[in-house]
Amino acid sequence: MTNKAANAMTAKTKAIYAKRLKESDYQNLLQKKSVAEIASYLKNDTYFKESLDGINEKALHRGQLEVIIRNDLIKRISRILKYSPQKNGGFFRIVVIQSEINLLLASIRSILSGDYQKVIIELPLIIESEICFDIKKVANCRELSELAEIVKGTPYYDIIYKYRHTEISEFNFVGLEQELQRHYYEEMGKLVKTSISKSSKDAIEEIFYTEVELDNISKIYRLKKYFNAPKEMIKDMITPVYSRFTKRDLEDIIDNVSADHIIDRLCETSYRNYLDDSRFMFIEHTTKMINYNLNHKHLLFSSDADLVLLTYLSLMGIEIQNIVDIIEGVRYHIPAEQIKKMLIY
Amino acid sequence: MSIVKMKFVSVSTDKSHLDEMLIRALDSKLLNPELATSIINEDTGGKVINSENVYDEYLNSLKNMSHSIGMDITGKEKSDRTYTNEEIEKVIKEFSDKVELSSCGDDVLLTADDQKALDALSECDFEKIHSCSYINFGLGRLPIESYKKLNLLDHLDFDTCVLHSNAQYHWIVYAASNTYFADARRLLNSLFFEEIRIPNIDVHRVIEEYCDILKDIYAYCELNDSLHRLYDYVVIYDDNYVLSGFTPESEVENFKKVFDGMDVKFEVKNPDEVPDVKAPTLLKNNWFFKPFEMFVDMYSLPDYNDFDPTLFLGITYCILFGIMFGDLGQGLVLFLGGTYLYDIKKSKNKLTGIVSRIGLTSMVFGFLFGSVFGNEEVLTPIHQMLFRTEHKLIEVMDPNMTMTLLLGAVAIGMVLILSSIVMNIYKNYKHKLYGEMLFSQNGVAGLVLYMYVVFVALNMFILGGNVLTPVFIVPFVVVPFLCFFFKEPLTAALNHEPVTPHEGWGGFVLQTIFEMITIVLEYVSNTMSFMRVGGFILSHAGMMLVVSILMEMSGNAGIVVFILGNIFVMCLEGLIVGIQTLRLEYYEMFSRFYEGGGKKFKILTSVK
Repeated sequence: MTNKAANAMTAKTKAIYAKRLKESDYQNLLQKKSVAEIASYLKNDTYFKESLDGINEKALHRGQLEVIIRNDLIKRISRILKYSPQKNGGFFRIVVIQSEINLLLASIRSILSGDYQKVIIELPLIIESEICFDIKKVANCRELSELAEIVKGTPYYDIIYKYRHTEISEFNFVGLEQELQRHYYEEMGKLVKTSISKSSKDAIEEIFYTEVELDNISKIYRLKKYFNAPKEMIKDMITPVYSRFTKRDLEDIIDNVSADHIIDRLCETSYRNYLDDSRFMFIEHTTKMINYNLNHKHLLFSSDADLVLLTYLSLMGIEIQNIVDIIEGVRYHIPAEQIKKMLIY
Repeated sequence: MSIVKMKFVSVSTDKSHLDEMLIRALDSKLLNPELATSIINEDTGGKVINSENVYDEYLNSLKNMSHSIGMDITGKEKSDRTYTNEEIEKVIKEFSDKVELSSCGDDVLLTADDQKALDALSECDFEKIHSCSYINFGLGRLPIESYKKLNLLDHLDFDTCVLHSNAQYHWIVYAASNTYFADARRLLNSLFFEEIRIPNIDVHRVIEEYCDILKDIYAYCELNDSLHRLYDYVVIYDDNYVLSGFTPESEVENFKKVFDGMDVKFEVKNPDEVPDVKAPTLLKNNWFFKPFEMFVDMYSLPDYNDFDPTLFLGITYCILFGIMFGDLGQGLVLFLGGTYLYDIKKSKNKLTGIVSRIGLTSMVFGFLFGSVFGNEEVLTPIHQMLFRTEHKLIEVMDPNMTMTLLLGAVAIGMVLILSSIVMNIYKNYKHKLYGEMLFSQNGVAGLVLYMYVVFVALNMFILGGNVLTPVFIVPFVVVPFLCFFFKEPLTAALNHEPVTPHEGWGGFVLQTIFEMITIVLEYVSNTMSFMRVGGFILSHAGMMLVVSILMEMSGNAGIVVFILGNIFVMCLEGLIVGIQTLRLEYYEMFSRFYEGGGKKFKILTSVK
């Protein structure tokens, strides 16, 4: 990428990031009493104005609102990538791979449940041309073996192929999910190694390895806390990527640390710099807060286009989750103060 | 030229008088209320009002019904009586049943697009649609993306037809046999289909009977809906309902009078007594400088406890723009255009006011440069008469003048940078930040160093003395740099805090060395930045010279070239100079003394 293109991309990303939802927006959203009011606020007072133009917010389905917000992020990324010579390449692949995996999982779920048409809502039409298999065929797929044929020639073939004749009652959905996620991390790893500039290599690796490591920590916490899972099973489910914890540290946590003390272990490492004094809510909240602070720091201070785009993607993922949390909270009449604690900004 | 003093006022009453209190506060147009959630904290306690706003749904139902039957029920200001929820629901249901509309509270307002879809479908005759025994029909909005997804399915057990579309939705009617209708509806619902009921018949005959009561109920619901939205600003302490916010100090008594005859309690506090709630900023400037508040707002309003830089910005912006865009004729056009739009037509766009003001200074400097619509000769006799000069007062295009103009621009820059440093010293003194005031590059140390540099420049170019001797260098260069270098520990010592830097002495020294380099570079680059002021004087004269040459070459069409050339230069250069001046304001001056971060004062006038 030429310097001019990279600088333009960085400037554009930062300019778009400046329009993000601020504390006052969240404060106002928390006052809303219905999904319609939330949609109305997003439509009239935030940068979602353009995407929500023409919607009837009084009748808008919350699922549709989420779809619009997610698509808006993809449109924004496309606008940023206009400045990049490698259109839809680089870290845009993250969005594509995530969408591919989500679609495959949705397809398998609908095949297993027999509710075949359920998958169509997950079809990522906005990036259809980037998806490495035919999504129309996935929409009409009725059998696992048929799905395996559809993804033939793609990296997903080997994974799906193993499950093509599995009986519904014996289907290991968690295992499949695990394999797809591993594929996602492998692809991410390749991107980190191949498509980044040397100047920001360390920072991008830090972000990637931190994300995987925190995902590992979340898994260990949940498996210990809620499933009382055996140590060997937990070890099998861990992605072998290490950042602030060594392999031995992680094994020690699995072997000797109870779920409730995992957060203390996090605070003994440099992760404590990214945590504030707020009360522990749930593990994903803590790991996301670390990710948010880490990405926010890099986005503000870096001038590397790849790094800035990567951090922007991550931060916007958190913003979308915040909006979803508010929508869910308002829908289930959770007090505003409670919802506020879940938000990360 | 200041920030309006505010008071934090709290009005409280019991539950029975809450609504009246809120209405009066709303009507007063004096209060910037604070959301209850921003006031409640663990120390103060308090609760927010958690009441469901049913009136919003009633309003939707009423609007929906009125829209469907083409009846206007809005416009009544105040209802004649109060209604219970049961009464409202009963009237809505009765009316809906009679005109065969849905009375469901969740019903949503039919938009103009919905109506177009209904009109398109009405060609099929609603009665015939409803009389089908084996086929069912449905109507509604489907997001365009969902419609595309639907078309990806090879086999559908129902048929669809698009009646109308906008940027977000297709309005479709779908038809399925009785067997598949439920499945079709389920599939569409999963694609966020928003169903619209197909009316049975087109009825208007009961409208007159219900018109008055519906209007009355609508006014009642509208009022109560507004009140419910105001509840977001109310905190409950025990049985007291408290509305809090900021109002200008001068309006406190007027605000109190609004509640005359009501049983309310007042509490008035200074903003510093409520540290958890940030006081809003309302700027107060005279008619000349008021439009420049827009530029301050664009950068960031000053904090309530800070000072208003509008006056400084207004003066410097006018002068710098005037110098860079000095042309009597073009300035006059800007002045007349801006004054017409802002002062006569009362345009709300403050930029028109700014154009009017900078037009004036452009005229003044245009006169001094002897330039009228690019003609550099027309004012020469007047200059000769007024200033007793051989030619013009300032001969911009004379090569000998170029250096003078550029150095003059740098000199203006030095004066402005010095003014910014003085203002920063005053600001820090006001906020008792003595470390920043004394030792920073924009503090006393910076002032001493920069003044010495100015003095050296004066000696080099005008006075001819030698002041680059150790007697001057030690106190005016070495000492200020030592102050910059040890600013952090010196400030800590002033504040009676440990002087050891957080990052340790090693890290501190390394970091500060780089900071020193940055400081020197900043001084140089900020000062040189003002050369653009001189540059634009030359560029303006140069561009107008091109227009003059083209005019001469065009023969009879010269007047057209003259007009178009002037318009072109005014638009292009006016825009560039406007932006460059703003850049100088923001980067070279504001960055030295101004932080912003204030919250805008917003009067509660409507909750919609």
